[in-house]
Amino acid sequence: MRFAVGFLRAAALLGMVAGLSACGTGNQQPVASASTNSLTFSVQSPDAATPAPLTVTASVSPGTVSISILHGGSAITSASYTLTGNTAQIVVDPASPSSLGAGVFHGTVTVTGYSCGNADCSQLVSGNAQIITVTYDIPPIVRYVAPYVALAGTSGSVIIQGQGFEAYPVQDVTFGGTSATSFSVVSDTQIDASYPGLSASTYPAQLPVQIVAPSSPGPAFTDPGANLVVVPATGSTYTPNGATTLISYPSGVTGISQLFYDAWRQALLLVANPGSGAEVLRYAYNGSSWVNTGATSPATVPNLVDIALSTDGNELLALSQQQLTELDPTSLSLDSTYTSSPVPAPSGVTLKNLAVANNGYAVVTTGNGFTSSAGTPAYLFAARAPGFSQPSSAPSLDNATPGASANGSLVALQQGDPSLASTPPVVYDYTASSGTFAATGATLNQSENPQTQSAIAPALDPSAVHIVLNGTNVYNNSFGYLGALPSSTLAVALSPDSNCAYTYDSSGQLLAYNLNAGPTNGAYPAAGPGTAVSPGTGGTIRMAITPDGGTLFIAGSSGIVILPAPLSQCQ
Amino acid sequence: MKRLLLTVLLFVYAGSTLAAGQAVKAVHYQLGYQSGDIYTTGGTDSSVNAFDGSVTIPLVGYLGASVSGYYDHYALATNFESQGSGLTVASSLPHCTMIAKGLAANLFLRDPALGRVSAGYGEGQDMAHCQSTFLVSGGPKAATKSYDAAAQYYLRRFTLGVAWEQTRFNSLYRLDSDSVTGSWYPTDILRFDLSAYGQDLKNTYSVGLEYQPEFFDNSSGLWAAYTRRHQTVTSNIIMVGIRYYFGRRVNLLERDREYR
Repeated sequence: MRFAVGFLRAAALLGMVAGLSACGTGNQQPVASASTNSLTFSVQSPDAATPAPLTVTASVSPGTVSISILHGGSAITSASYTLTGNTAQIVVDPASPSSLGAGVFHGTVTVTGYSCGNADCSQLVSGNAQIITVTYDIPPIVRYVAPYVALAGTSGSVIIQGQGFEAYPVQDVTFGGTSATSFSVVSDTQIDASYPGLSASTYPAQLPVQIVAPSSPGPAFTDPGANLVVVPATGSTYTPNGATTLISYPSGVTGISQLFYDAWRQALLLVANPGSGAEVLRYAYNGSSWVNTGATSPATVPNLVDIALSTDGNELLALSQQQLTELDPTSLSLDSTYTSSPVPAPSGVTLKNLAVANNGYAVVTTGNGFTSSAGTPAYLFAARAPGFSQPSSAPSLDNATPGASANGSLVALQQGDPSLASTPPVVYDYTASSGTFAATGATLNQSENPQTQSAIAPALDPSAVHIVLNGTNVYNNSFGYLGALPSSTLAVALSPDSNCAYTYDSSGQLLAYNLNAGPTNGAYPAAGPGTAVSPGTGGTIRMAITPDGGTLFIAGSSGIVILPAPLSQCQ
Repeated sequence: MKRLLLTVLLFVYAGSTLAAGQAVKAVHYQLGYQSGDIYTTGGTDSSVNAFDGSVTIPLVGYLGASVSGYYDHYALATNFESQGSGLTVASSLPHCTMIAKGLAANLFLRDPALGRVSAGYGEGQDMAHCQSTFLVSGGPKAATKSYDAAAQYYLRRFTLGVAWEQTRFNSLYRLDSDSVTGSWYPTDILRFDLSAYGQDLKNTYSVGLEYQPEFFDNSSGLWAAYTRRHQTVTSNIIMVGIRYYFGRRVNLLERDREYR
């Protein structure tokens, strides 16, 4: 009872004073407000430039002693601010699209005011906050389609490389507006799709490859280079009535080290006069004959060693011993030049060969001129954001020679030389879908031509069903050994349907081998009689084949022989 | 500064003229730790952990002095619901860490049978360890200077107190507060407090208790307080703490009126 009376006395006194104190001037607890409570960033694709920052004005009520502006969420990299009185100008910087990938990303900027909680301000209390939500839309992108060449009226399949394919349910894949007959989203970066027979009013027709996805975060972006180029099947165009044609090199050309058939532009590309005077030589088909449309001078690409078309076929990658040069595939004019920085090649090591994968990278090998078996670096070169890089999985290889499938899914890397190491080294591969190098189960010493310091590059059919290393060893897609082609083989090409291996051997004959028939006693027998061909001897021989498998090109020291592929021998 | 000097001289004069009495029986030391939570409407919780200490010394007669210090560590909530937007934000940094620390000195006249009159000066610093800026300084730190005056009247088992305090950040911003506190000792080892604040801290009320159990040999005190700030946003502050008293083993009532 005594306690209760005491309480009542104290409470009465406090009530009086409290009533008086409530009449004071008052100090409101901080309340923050902002000019907007939402911000939106949007870009075309993950490859787009980072959008400009956005500015928000926020203010807090009088009585605020401190203001905090904090940000969270992946959409924002920073939220800086300047204060003028109780007002803050907040600059919100979005993350770079490439760092986020495709999708809808969120972030927040929180403006909170703090006031004193007691008389000496040793206690602080939070006021109400203003939250600004940030939304960042980055649509998916289609970057590459491989192989980028399709034959008119012929169905086929491609690998589509890009980013964001798993961020949204892909509803359809179209080729110039024509839906795919089937497609499968393999990963966030890859779709496998099949297309029906496509036709066009004029050829070649560049059909944009697009994915159809829900509207948010915006329509998927197709890179201008991501086209399926539809070309007419050449059939016997180059070999009317089964005729064999010989293109003689211009005077001064004594040999070649590389041959490429550009189906899009119906042109042959060669590396002529390997060595310090090497140059790119181009022949284009004008409807009736092959015309030499020009050559680069050795000064344009000094010490040229190899060439390849970029993943989308828009650039000719010309590799020299110290640098990679991008040339226009038609005019051979110089587009740009890149050295192997920021990963400088070790002293005495030069860039050697390249092969292009479907993810936009070219695998670039290096070598020491077969002077030792010491390993040297392997690089990747990105054609679209040009530059060399060296992924952690990149192995050191002994004078490796790469070869890629036309769909760019696989690059095989053979290495070594019997004169350098008696133990055959491991064959490596580069898988485009994972972007990694890995050792295969195969071991092999590549046979280097001592005169030209070049080996027979790995030959793969468009889908990498069969792989021929060293011109002789036939493997399946998993590098399981299947059988041997004759050791006299000087050059090899595989038919697009993967059934046939065409070889040019030291007897001067074109021979066909049915890879589906299986080897006899470990060796594939010739599927038919050979055809005598004379592209010139004494140097490197290279072969190429048209996408329809109808025409073979065999380049030697004196010229290029164009002849019908003996398709029937493998059927 | 002149006012401060004048106040000191006044206290010294008054204390010496009443030399028959004794403001502080003996030097008194105490250390404390306190912890608490701040619940703010619409937001997540803030928390505080703090240390404080003080020494009270007898000067002349009724004149005494004390020096005290504090170090407070706050984790202040930031992700409140935005007014009217209904948004909650889990991804934003949930707390902003702030540190408050300071020292203060007090002079007082006390007659243990009548009451206590005091004046004090203190300096402190608030520091933010997040992207926070003090409006008064434009940076992550803000210095404070505080002046206070207080009076207490001892009425048997009641103590009635009034206080005024002004805290200045700079010439433009200051915090003025007055308060009235009523304390009651139902026993010699238990005290209840009721407080109300005015001016810039209006609509702030607090209730608390301190208990000094005898089984700790009168060496320690446990206390708890609940404070409610009812302004645009309502904050409820709950604090609990422990104090350790060095030296004198006296009961709470005697300690409050004769030692500290």
